[in-house]
Amino acid sequence: MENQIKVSVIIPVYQVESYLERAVDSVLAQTLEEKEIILVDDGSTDASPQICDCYAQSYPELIRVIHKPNAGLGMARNSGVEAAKGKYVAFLDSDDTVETEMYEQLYQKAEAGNYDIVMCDVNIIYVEENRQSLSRSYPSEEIDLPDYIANGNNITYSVNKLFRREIWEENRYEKMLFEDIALIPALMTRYRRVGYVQKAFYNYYRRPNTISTSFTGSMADIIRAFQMFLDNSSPAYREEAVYCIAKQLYWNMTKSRVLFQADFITFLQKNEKDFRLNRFLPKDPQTKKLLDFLEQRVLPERFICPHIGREIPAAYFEQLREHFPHAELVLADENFFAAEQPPASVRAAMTAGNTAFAEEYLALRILCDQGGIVLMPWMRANLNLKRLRLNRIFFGFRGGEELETGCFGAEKSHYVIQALLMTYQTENLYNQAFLPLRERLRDFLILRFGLKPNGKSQLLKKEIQVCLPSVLSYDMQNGENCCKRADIPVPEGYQAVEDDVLRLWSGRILENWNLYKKALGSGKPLSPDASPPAALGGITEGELERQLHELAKLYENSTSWRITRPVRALSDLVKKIARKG
Amino acid sequence: MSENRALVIVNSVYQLINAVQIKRSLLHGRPADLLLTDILPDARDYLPRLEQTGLFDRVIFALSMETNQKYAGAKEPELSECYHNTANFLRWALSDELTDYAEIYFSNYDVLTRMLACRFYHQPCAFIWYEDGFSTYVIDYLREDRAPVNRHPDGRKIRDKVQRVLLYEPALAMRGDRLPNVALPKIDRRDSELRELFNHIFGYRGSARLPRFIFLEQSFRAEGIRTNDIDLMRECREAAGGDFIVKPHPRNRENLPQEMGLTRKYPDHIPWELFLLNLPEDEKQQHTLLTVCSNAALTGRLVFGLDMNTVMLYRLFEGKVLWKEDATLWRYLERFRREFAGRNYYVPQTRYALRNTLMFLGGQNGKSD
Repeated sequence: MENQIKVSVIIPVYQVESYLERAVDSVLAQTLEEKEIILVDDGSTDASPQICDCYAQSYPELIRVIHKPNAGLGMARNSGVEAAKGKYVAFLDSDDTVETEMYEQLYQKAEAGNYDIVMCDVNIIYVEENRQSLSRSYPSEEIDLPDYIANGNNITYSVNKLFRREIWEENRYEKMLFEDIALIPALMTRYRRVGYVQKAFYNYYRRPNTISTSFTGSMADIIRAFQMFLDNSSPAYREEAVYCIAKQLYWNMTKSRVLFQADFITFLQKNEKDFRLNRFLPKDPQTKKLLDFLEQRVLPERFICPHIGREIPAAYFEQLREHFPHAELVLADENFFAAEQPPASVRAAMTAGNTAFAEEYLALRILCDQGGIVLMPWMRANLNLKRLRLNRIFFGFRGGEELETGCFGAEKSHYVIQALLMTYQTENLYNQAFLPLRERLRDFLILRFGLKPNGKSQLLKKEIQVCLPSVLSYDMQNGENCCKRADIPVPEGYQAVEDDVLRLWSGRILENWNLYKKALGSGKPLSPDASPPAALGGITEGELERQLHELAKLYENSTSWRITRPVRALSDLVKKIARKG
Repeated sequence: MSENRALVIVNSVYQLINAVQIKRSLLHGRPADLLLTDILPDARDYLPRLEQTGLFDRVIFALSMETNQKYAGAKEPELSECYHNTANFLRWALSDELTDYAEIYFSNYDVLTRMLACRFYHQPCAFIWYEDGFSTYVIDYLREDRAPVNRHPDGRKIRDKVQRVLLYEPALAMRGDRLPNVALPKIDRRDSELRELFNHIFGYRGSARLPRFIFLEQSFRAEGIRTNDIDLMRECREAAGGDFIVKPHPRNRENLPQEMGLTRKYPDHIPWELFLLNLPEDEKQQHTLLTVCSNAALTGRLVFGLDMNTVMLYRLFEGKVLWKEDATLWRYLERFRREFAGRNYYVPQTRYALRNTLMFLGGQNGKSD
């Protein structure tokens, strides 16, 4: 019987008790009879495992179940592939469905053309918006592979394709997010017999707050995925692969994952020659804007944590791992000074037992040497901190007048950090009195860059970003916090905030609200600055309006809009005539 | 009278101290007269005590304040009228007749000194300008465009008579007038005989006690310069935490800091320089001097080599000008800071640095008395 299995359908299962039956049923309903279904339960804790077992009992000839500890989608698919017996392999996500003829038609196409891979179109169903759209993979059923790689759609999807099983003898998914991007497009460049059935057999259900629409630290895996796509593609198609990546990169950087922009820029700069020399990019006015990002400097994702005579709390590491899984962490203690003697002021501070003074010097010293972000042991960073990597140097207020020195960043050898370090070598009050860095820094920024100690966001000399207290010290739950103090013990769910910060914050909201009302009253179009702040989530009405405008522009320039323009013009004319009549 | 005789003109306590120092050092063993003017407050009180010391052969008193004020900014024809009456003025204003002098020591280019230059113009009498605080280091008083008197035929005669300048720190001079700067030996605070001499002259008992933080007011209000000095006093008082006093400047007509409740009354009977001279070595770090840029704060260093905690506030000064020679004064203050100030000299550049400095120097921020 086994050698009669034409297609093995692998369904990874994780916490999908509401959708799983619909997915499995759509495979059971396939017109292709010689198939098997492999349900890989990836350590679900809901009713999914029981549903899987129930199906296996009901269809013992057709359905097998693998239970395994949770290790992610890619690993689950790998397990399924290892167990698969069919001539071809297909993947179905457990919250999606397939049309009844999908596997039969793809199988027949594969057999007829001796294809390694056969694909179809995708029907994207926007669940909350109650609409769907067709995602056509390629304009013609005859695939011109270089053109498909460069300009085709759905290239990164695993689920709209049928793969010859031999492919999986030498290929596996990586344990990461975006495992599809890391593997599938590269496979397309190496297994070049690709067939196509131009029908939307696969139903992809898109919901808000699924893994693909909410942000987590591990989403930085997308950078690794792009790099693997590039590295594992056949050199014969590298130019096309680069262009394919460029388009996805540009969309991700400017639209869908702006939060990760610094990561994308780092990737872009690492592969500069490929993007600069790509022959497709100059002809694509939109995507070639990507090259502008090559000029932008970003801070490395390196966290510097000096700790002299103190342990770093476990929560510090946990939070870093959660939000910045790929970041480099530089830990430095007093042993640093064994290799490099500190200035007399720091030695005196150490002798006097003022380790905080020495820690701050150490932070500056390493920051100057390597660049990155200083994150003191009592601070907790969140994913938003990625945004600040787009600055060459940044600091923040802790209060109306106080600066926060628990978290700040700069690029390597930045002259401001160099100058601050120099002040440890000279005789001055800060060294005599072992004053904290925030005092030294504030005076320095006031004197050299005209900082106004008012707790407001400032860009000094078009370069030095000074953030609000709600950005680097306190989480005001308005979506703009990047890092907060954890040195004030408060009950779970509470946030300790200094009263002047609270006053500043409330004042700012009131000010924005008054501006908004004034702008409304004037009858003029609202500027983004005049919009009231959002209660939660950090998107202002101004931002929303800007995005809607962008969307309208996009639609105006789209093919469908141009095609329907004469019809709309005719419709407008008819309406006018009707009104006159 | 000896051909080697000197005359020393004195208009202030600081000048009197320097005059005594000049007599005991550079003029040691030489005959000398002292000319004390009524510009020095209560000058007549010093006369008998000065005579008792026997330092000077004669102590002559001069009424020059009124004439100085009258012709301070005078132009023609008042200037010609003034110098035309030189002989009459000297006869009327001086308590005794002048004799021939080989040298005349002075600190101010006032009417009296300029008249004396006219009086001794054709005689071999050198005029020697001696230290009177940073103005002596900074200002070219005889520059023609500085005042009409410098262009007047008689008023400018002193230019031909001045030969050198005596300074405690000649290296700090930056007047640009090409006059040679000569070192005036510093006063040794350990010289108890000298200290007793000064205490006798000034009738000082040497037991005055002042608060830890002493703010030295300047004469901005007297000169009509709008500044933030009161704000600075308030800020200092706050940071000092109560152990604080303002020494008023004698030229300011009203004691505004006291009226505003920023300070208790400053004990008038303590001449500043005498307080510094008598300050025990082990107490010098118990006081901190605060000032925008008063020369009195630098006196301890310049005259006595006394390294006291000194906080100069000129970087926090808000006003049109610190002084007429603003740029040069700034250069002087910065040079002083870099080259002479020492470890206990602070120039905060922000009010935060000021607060930190005073905290470091023993202030109790916010805790007032």
